[in-house]
Amino acid sequence: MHPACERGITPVRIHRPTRSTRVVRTGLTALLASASLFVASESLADDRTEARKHFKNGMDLIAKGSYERGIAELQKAYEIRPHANVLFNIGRAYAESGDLENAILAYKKYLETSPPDADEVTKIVGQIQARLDRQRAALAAAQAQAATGATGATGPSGPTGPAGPDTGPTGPTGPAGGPTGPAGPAVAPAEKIDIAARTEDVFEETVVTASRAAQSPLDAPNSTSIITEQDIRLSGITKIQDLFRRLAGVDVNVMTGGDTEISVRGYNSRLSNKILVLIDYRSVYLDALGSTFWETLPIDVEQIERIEVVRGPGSALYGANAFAGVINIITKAPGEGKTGVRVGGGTHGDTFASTTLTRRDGDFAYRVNAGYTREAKWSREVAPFRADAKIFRPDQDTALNNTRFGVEATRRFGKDTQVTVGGGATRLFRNMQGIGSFKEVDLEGLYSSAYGSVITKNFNVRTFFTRLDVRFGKDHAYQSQDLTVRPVVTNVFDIQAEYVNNFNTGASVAHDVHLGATYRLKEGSWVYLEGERKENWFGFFGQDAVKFGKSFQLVASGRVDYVPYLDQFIPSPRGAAIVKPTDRSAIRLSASTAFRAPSFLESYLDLPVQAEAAPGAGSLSEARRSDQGGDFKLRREKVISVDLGYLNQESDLVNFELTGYYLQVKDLILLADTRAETVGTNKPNGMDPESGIYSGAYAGWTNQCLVYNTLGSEIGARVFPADGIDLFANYALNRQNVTRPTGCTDLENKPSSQHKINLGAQLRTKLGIDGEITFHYASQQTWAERVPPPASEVSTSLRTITTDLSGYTLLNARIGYRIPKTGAEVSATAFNLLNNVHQEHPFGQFVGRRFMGFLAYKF
Amino acid sequence: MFRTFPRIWKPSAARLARTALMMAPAVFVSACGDIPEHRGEFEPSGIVKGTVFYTGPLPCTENGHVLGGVPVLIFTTDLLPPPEGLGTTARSLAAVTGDVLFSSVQKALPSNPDGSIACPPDDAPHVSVSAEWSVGPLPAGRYQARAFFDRDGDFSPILKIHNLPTAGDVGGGALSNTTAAALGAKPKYQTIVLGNEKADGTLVMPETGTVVEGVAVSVGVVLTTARPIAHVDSVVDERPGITELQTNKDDIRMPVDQRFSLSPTVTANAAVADKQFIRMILRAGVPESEWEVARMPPISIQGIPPYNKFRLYPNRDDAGKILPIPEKTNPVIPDLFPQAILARLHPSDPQNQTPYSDPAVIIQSLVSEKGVLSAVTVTKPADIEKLTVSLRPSAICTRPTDPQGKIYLVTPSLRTLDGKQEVISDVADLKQKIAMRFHRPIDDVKVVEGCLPPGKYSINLVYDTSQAWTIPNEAGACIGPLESPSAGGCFQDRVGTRPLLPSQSAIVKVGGEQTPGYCDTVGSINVGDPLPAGESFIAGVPSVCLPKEERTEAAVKARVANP
Repeated sequence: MHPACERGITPVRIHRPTRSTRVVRTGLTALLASASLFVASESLADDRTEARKHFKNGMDLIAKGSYERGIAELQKAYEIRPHANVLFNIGRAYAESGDLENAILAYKKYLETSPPDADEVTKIVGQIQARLDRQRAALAAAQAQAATGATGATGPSGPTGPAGPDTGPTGPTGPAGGPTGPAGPAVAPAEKIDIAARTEDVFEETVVTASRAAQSPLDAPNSTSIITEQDIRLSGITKIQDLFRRLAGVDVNVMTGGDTEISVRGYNSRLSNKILVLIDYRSVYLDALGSTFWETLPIDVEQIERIEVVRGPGSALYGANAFAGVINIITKAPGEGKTGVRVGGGTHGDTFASTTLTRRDGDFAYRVNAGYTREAKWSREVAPFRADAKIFRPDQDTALNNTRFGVEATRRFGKDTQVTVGGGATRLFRNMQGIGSFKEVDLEGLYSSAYGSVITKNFNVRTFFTRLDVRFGKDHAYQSQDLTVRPVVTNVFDIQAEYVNNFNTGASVAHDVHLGATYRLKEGSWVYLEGERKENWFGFFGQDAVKFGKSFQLVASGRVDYVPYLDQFIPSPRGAAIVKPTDRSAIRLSASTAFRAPSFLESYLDLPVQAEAAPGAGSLSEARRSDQGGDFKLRREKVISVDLGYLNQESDLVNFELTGYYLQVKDLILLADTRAETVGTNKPNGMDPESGIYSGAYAGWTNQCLVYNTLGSEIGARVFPADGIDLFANYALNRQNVTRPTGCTDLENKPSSQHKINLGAQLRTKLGIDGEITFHYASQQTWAERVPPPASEVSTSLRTITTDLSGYTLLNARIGYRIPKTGAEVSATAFNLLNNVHQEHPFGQFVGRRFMGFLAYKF
Repeated sequence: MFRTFPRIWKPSAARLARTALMMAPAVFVSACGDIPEHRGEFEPSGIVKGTVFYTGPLPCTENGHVLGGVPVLIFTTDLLPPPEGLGTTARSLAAVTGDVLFSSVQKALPSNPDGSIACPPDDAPHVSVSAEWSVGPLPAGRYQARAFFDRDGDFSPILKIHNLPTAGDVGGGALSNTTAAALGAKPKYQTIVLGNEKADGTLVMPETGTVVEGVAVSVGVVLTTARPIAHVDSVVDERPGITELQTNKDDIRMPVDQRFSLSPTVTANAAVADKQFIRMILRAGVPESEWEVARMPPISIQGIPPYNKFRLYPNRDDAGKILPIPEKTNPVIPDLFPQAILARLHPSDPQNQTPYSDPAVIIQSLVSEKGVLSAVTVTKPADIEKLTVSLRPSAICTRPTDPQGKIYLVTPSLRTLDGKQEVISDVADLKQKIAMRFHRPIDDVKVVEGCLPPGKYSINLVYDTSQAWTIPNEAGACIGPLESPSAGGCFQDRVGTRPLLPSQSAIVKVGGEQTPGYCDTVGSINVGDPLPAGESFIAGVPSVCLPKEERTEAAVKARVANP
């Protein structure tokens, strides 16, 4: 894989110029730099589609010899969305047109981006400079000769100036009157400088997650949505999960101010566990708990290049837990983006601060980021004056208090090899929803990670280590109840190696082959578990994406994972066929399976749980069911998915996608019915000597016997009616029914909205005012939750309660203003502007209206 | 060169907008407000905190831990356990682990290197230790705390066969006469009040919740008797006119309209007196054939020698005076412990393990050694092997969870069989005793003539030491999916998942009419207290004694026919 594709970006992009003396080396350079400054402060936002339109126009015009207009279009594209290849093409166009001086300037600016082909381009610049020197020398000689001739000197007249003849093989004749091409003295004969145009669509939207390789969404074997840098910036959102509201087929459920859960295509849960979240391909799934704690991630939205959301199973490439979808957060590479700072404050003391330092120096680049977030609870359960309560921490208003730090460095070795090392840490307090009787819990501690990768053209190795070291306990309890905060320590070491090769087996049959192996060591130490646990996982995956000409592609993927708890090798196949009726549209049919393995908590739970009503009584929640012989094992959750989609990007005015899917889900893991103590299961000494709880029942997990069938559809469009205005709209339908095997009495759970609508408008003005307004609607949800009885009931038995949550609407908005020529920006955001107070989970806090104001500065 | 965008529009309004935007952060930061409160299930509640003071023998240890602990059982005063009330389940339970309680004498604790149970010698000196305890959340109300040190570690709050103290455990509670109780007096339990009292005497919980601190729980009375474990040895039915003898001791029948008399005329002849009643002969412990099973895990009960004896002793008031049964008798027949109480079971529980509480119906029977008149001679405790329980046809109906509800004593006839004399010697005194027992005003007690509520009843024997025994219980039934036949079952021959004690499955069924048609007229007899408005007799049974879903003529008659 190309090094730049490690993050799934097209090769190198330009950055804001560094403050070096080179900027003002010449007057022209100064002009160029000032233009660049203008771009930084006054450009429209980085809209890919607009930039792409101008880029295509520019390249077409240049190909037709209309250099001036063509270059202007490229410049516009660059202003909208800076990209190094645009500079390259501008330089090339100048060279073709005979404007060698500007060509050199453009190429030098290109070189400032430290591209992988710097040596090659430097050579080109040298050639152009030499030619320019010769031209100047020839011109000087001709002028001298002319002067001599005028004074009687003799000599042949030199060739006159149109630059066209010596601008390379494809160079048509330059425009008359070009800067260096006026009719004039003779210059040296043309030297051929072979400069191929960067004709690839540099603003082509690419995705990397569905196939582990950069490709157009049109070629991806799964439906993939993208949250762009523009979406992130214009929304003003600081919490990554909130960004997903705009996507069709993605469920966002606010549990607490510090806990927002994400699901894809349904199957929401209090602890969302059916998606695999990656940061630059590194899994951040917490294996011990079976979820992603977004708030532990040591990055901010400021560092995100884009987020890809693959809707549908992803176990064929990513293994366990890529059940309903894969979210890959692609961060900006070190040296990309801008150094800056953003601070904000809002209602209820919400606070956000983030700073990024990013720099490239040749082949070496680094990024350092730090941030702080404080978010208030949406609502609180315990008033300060309560005499009967005890609490995790005195401040009952704070839901999230998060300080994070990250660092990453890259070093390129040649054109195709890049080494990356990085790490980060997050110290956090988080208020969240737990499971069962742990309705509102808190954790406090440190999440840390270290990672590295070596990416070459054909061989990639990625490794990372993560550690969660926190204290965990209930947020509040009655004074008589257990609020003991207990430590949780989990370690994950992961290494994966991948072989990548592209080759042809026929005139029009192209293969893109990926073969890989993974190893993952998981450790967990938690009093909730039966002893300290350690698991060694192995996985092997492979994929061949075979293109038959331009219009047809078959993708076969598969992976086998060894799951130690199950002591099984689990296969996860995927097949996809993609037909492209036109270059910019595609029909995709894919089928796949995936699984979610029982988490540590589900595999090894061993916990006396205090009854709500009686502190001395409770149940023994244990995974292995000692009352039934102790050899019980859960099965993995399974999904089979068929997905049919149509994506059309033909028009510069509108893109749209239509997807229909079917999911069959089996063996969902949920809390089991409580099994009352019987004479046969009664232990001689019934009190747990550690907790002081007399166990009257056994609890734990079970696989649900219901088979869930989901038929769904997602329709989405993005419209670009005019420069600076983006509109998007999408609708998701999720129809769920169940097949009930004989004897199955499980209660059906419908925790996902059947209908969801998202509408949004983004505005970017030349005045520096920009913003976004989004509307979200989610229809009713019906949650079946297994919970202990309330304190008013004397019982140790869990019960299933079914709660209908009303549909709700959200109107969110942001408006910002970039102060000209300062790099500063002020903005304000509003969440739930209409103050539609609602719950997104039966036990969730009541979500109301929030405002925040921000001040940002980019250097 | 690179093109720049022309700045073509610069209205003053834009400047204003910019200014407003720049001010926005400050505005929003200053707009902080309180976090709204949305209380879920975390309602303001009552908490009781205090200290457990233990004085008694050192505990045993096992696997490095003290064996057993102190369960502190919290009862509402409306629903105290027998003999004071009808409570079958504590309102809440706190626990102090043995490790915590005896932490100050840890070095003195016995231990075995292999972790097996190690107990101190019998003559080891007693120790005094203490530990904090707390319980809650509790709703507003009045409570009592009863506790014991479960020295053998067999306590289970769920299983009837293990949910009360056994011989060797050390009893106690939050007492108001701690010293006297330690010297053998009847314990008097403190009333713990949670909530603010309103003018009408009811209690409400303040918004802040409430915490009562400093409640001392004293545990120091070593229990010398085992629970009154029993089995039905035989059933005797010699009532006048009865020709069909009851032979199934595990399925005892009692007619809904049974009448009786203990008038002096009747009690003059012991044989006649006893023949007024259906009598169960209960033998202490379990049958010899079940001894081995009973003493071994998982059952492990004390119903085997040397514990297979009842302690029979008279009920006394605080002054030590022996209390009589309420009927008009001559000689006066004392009320004896263990008391025998039939409690109506939930009709839908095929295993007969669940008491019915809406309403709760109990039938308190007469206990004697060999016959009702033999009780007269009991003036001091005696250890006996067999009890005679005479099924007295009078039921108490009440809704324990309704503190405003009435208590009804229902009996098929308030007059003797010849219709000449009232059965109860002093109705006002009886009402007073019932009112005191259930902590209600005397006006809440009603005495009603009516047929007995039909249905299945458990047999409960109760001491005044908080020790009791219920038949049927889990040892005699296969309960839950794991003990179903398909899952292995539980069997008398110990082939299944666990052995069974068949002696622990007996029940009493109240049903059928001794005098056909009697119940159709009983409601019309204008004696006793009137039923409250809206209530009526259904097939002769006061509707207040019936579950709401069974309050139809057809349902009652069906239940009478098939209890």
